[in-house]
Amino acid sequence: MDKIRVGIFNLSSCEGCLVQILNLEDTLLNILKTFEVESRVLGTLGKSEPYDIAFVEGSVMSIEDEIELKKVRGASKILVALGECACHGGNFLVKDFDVGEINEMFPGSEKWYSHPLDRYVRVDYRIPGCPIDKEEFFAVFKSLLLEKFPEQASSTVCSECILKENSCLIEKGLACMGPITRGGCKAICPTFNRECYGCRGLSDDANIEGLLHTFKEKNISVQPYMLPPKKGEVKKLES
Amino acid sequence: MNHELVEVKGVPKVEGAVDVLVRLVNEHFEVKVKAREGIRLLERLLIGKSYREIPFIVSRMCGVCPIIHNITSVQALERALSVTVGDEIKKVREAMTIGGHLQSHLIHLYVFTLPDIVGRKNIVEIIGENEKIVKTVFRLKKIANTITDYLGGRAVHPITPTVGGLTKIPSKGVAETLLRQAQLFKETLKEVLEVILAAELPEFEEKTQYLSLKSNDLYPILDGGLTISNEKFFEQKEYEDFITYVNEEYSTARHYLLNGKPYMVGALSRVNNNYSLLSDEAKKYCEVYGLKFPSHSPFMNIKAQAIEMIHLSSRLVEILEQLSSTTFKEDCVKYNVRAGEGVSITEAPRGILIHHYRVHEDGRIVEANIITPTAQNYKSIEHTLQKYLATIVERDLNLISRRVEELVRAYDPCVSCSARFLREH
Repeated sequence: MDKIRVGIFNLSSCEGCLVQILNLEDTLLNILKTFEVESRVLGTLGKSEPYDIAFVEGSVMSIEDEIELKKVRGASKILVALGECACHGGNFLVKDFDVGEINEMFPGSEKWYSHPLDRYVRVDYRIPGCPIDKEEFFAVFKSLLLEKFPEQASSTVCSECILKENSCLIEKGLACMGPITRGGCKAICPTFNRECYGCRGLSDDANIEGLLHTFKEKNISVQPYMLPPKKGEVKKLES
Repeated sequence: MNHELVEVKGVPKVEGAVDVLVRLVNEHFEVKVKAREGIRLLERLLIGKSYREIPFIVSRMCGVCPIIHNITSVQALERALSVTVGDEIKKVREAMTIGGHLQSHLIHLYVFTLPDIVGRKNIVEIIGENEKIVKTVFRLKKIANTITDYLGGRAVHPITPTVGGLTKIPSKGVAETLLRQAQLFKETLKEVLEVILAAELPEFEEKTQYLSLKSNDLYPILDGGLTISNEKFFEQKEYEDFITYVNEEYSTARHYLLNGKPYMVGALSRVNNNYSLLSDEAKKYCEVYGLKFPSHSPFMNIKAQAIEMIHLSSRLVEILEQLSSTTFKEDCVKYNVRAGEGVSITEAPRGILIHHYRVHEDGRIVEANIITPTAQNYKSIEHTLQKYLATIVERDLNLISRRVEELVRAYDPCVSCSARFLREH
C-alpha cells in the first residue's frame, strides 16, 4: 500500500511554524517513518506526484510565492494554511500599513505586500497562531488523515485564560486582546503575564467595540495599530 | 566565453530560500548568492511602534533563532532607556539563550549536515539505518526546548523577556527541574558527538576576517567587545566604523563588508577568537579529535558548533545550579520612559547579531538598524565558494552542485533573518 504523501512548504516566512513541527520530536520521528513527508528544509524532496495533504507556511510576497502556491494547490487534495502569515497575511506583525508609502520608498523594487493564501487559492483548513501550537498541529493532522475536518476553536483566548484561573491582565491595566482573539492556544501569553496580541486572528463573534469601551473605562491606552485589522482593511501609519 | 555552470535553486537543508548561481567567466568562477525570501520584515515596520512591542515583533524575523533576536532587542532597548537589570535576570536570559543555541546547532548538525557526512540524502534515510542516533538527537532537542519553554514561555517566539526584566520569573522548583534536564543533556550529548567530530571534511582553507565577540572571562554570547581574528579590537558602539553594506540587486538580502572586505561570523569565528575560554572538556575533545583552532577552513564551522555545544551545555548546568539557590527580588525593575539610543551586539547561533534603536521620549521607535549574521556571511560565501570551486577537478555538474551545497550548508545560513532590511533615516 502506498504511503500517504504529506508536503510541507514555506513561502515568505520565518519558518517558525516549521520549527514547531520539528519540535514534535518523537512524534515527528513516527510521522517520518509512517508517511512520505516532502520538505525542502528536511531535504526530503521527492517526485512531483500529488500530495494527500499539503501544509503551507508563510505569506505570499512575490510572484514566485504565488506560482509556488498555485503549483502546490494543483498538486494536493487538502491544503492547510499553517500559521498566522498563511492564514491572515501576517497581520499580527504588520497591523498598520500604508502600502503606497512603502512603494514610494523603494522605487524600482517590487510592490510590497503580504497576502494570505486564500487570496489566491482555495484553502481547506487553517491552523492559526504565531507560531502554531504544536499539539494543535498534530491533532489537526490526525483528524485530516481520518478525513474528518476538525472544527476551529470557537472559544476566545479570554475564556481559556479564565479556565486556567490566571489573574486578569486587563484588570492590571494592560491592553490584552484576549476577549476578541480566537482561542486554541491555551492562553499561553497571558499565562506568562504578557497581554494577548491577537496572533490567532479575530474570534467568530469578536466584539471589538465592546473591548475598546472596556479599555476606555479602565484608562488603558491603545495604539490604533494594536487592534487586529478587519478583513481587507489597510490602516495608515501615524506620523 | 561566459556560460552558466550551475544554478542551485532553493538549496535544501538550509533555513530559508536561497539560490546559488555559479558562472564561468573568462576562466574564473563568478558566484552569486541570491536570497529569495520576500522582503518580509522591514526596519520601517518597527518605526512608530512602542518599544514594548519590539521584542515580540523582531523574534518573528526567524523561527530557528527567535530567542536571540528577542533578547538582543531587549538589551538594546534597555541601553537606550538606561535600564539595568540584576544578575539573576541576566542568568535566566543567558540560560534560555543557550537553550536556543543548542537547539539551533542540533538542527544544523544533525538534520542539515549529517546526511552530507554519512553520504545520505536526508534524515529520513538515516532513520532507516540508524534510528538510535536520530532518537537521541530528538531527545536532546526536547531538553533544549524545555529550558526555553519554562524560562521563556515558549521556545519559538519567547514571551517572558521584556525591558526591565522578565514578565514572569521562574518559580523555585523550576530551576532545579531544569538543572536535572541540563545534566542529562550534557551526558547524552556525548553519544552523538563522535560522528560529527570524527567526520572527514574537505581540507580546503581560505583565510578571511573572523569577527566575533571577545571576552576575558566568560565565553561571550550576550555581551562583550568585538574582535577581528584577535588582531583588531573595538567597542560595540563603534560598529558602524567597521561594518558597511552593499545592496546587490540580485538578492533580497543586504550584503555586508568589514573594512571593505568579506568576513565570516559564526561558531568558527567564536572558537577561533575565544578558544582559551572554552570549558576544559571542550578543549579535551579538540585534543582527542585533533582539532586545531584558529582554523581557516570554512567547513570547520561544523565542528566548531559541536565543540561549542559541549561548552554551552556545561555553562547551562552552571547557571541553573546558581539559579537553584537564587531568590528573585522582582520580575521587572521600575524605569522611566525617555528618549535614548542603544546598541546591543550578541552572538546568535550563526554569528554576530546587531540591534540598534533610537527611542523617542514617548517610547516609540524612531530609528532601527538590525544586522543579522547570515547577511554578513554572504560575501564570504561568494568569495570562498569561488576559491573552493577552483580547486575541484571534477567537471560533473551534479558533483559540482553538491560541493556548492555542502559549502553553503557549512556556513549554516539563516536566510529568513537576512532578508532585506532597510534603514529609515
